[in-house]
Amino acid sequence: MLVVEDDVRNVFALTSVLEPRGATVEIARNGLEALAALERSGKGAGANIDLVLMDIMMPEMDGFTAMREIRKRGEWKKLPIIALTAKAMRDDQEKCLAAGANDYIAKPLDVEKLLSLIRVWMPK
Amino acid sequence: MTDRDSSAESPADRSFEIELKLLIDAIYLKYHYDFREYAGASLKRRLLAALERFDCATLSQLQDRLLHDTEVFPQLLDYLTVQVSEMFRDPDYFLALRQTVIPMLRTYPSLKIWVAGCSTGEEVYSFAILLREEGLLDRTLIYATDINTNALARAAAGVYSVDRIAGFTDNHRRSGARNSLSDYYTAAYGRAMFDKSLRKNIVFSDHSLATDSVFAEVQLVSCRNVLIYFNRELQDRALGLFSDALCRKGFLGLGSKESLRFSRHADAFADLVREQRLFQKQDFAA
Ligand SMILES: C[S@@+](CC[C@H](N)C(=O)[O-])C[C@H]1O[C@@H](n2cnc3c(N)ncnc32)[C@H](O)[C@@H]1O
Repeated sequence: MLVVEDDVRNVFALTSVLEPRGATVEIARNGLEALAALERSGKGAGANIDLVLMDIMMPEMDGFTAMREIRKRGEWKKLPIIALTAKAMRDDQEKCLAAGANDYIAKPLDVEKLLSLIRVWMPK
Repeated sequence: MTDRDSSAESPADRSFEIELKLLIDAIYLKYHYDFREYAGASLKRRLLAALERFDCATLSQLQDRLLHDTEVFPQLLDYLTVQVSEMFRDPDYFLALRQTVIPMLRTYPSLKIWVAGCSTGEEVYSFAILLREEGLLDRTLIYATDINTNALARAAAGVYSVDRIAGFTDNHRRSGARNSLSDYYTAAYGRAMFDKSLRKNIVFSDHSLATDSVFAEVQLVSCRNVLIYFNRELQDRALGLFSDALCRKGFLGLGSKESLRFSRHADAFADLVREQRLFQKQDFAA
């Protein structure tokens, strides 16, 4: 799974929830690094990134732009993306969906909710 | 920091109060901007100015237009928020930062700074320039946030009217600068455009201290001339966000008319440079 997040504290919180549950977590610190990581991960069934957790407020390339870039590519059209947003209002969250997220979760992250979302969106 | 009106109420005032509350609720319900906890008196003044601008006799009329014409709200937002700013505003604040905070920030391998309520960007560019002068800009990421997206767009452009640059230059000099401000802009056709390289490490983002949450851990929060528009509860909410965002021993700077004194979070911070409203998060604070 790919975690796109530039904040050390958040990355630590996410990996310490995900790794003990058997997920292999790769970190990208902004949208550009995320695209590069996806590029490296390979395509189709052999790809080793099966889900993306995407922060919005990042340097270089923000989460909205990164999601739009990902959705432009045919092979990544179905890749599940969950947006991590510090914004609480419905229209902000709709913006995440419009940019290509499958779902979103508000910060500060509720671990149980995040795990539920991952269970829903992780391809079987 | 309170801004309450204690004058006796006439029936007309009473109606205005009711309309004000309804208007603020309407804005919240329709546009999800939360002004419910803003200080009343200055909000009232600004809405009176808006009545004139939109040529409405009452706030109820304004509310009608606001709900049925979606072009109105973005314009009204410029009345609901105050966009007064300048570069190196209160030069002594920036001087104190250079003298007291920068030496401690130098000890971090990488830095994050949050300028909350950055308006049209003057404060953010002041920080970028100061950090460049202190040799820290390359390892710093600045989050510049505001609720006014028009202002944010102007901040991201970094273009100011040439008439304002003389004042900025004077402030910059008084902030302890060793260079001339002219090193950082090119002026032509009445506008000064600040150097693109200054904003390489700036993330401009729509974020509300009233409704949104912490997004990153930072070493310094500068939130100046924003809390004065909030009531006590909302000030506490914002200060709570700052306290959560700050790392251990992180720094907080407020505006010259703002203080922590009556806040629920006062104990979380110690005075660093009292006259300049610079504080440091206490060690024991969570
Ligand atoms: C007077 S300006 C301060 C500009 C700059 N910090 C300075 O001191 O020169 C106040 C800014 O606070 C912003 N603001 C108001 N409510 C806010 C909120 N809830 N969250 C974030 N910013 C807010 C306004 O949009 C405005 O740009």
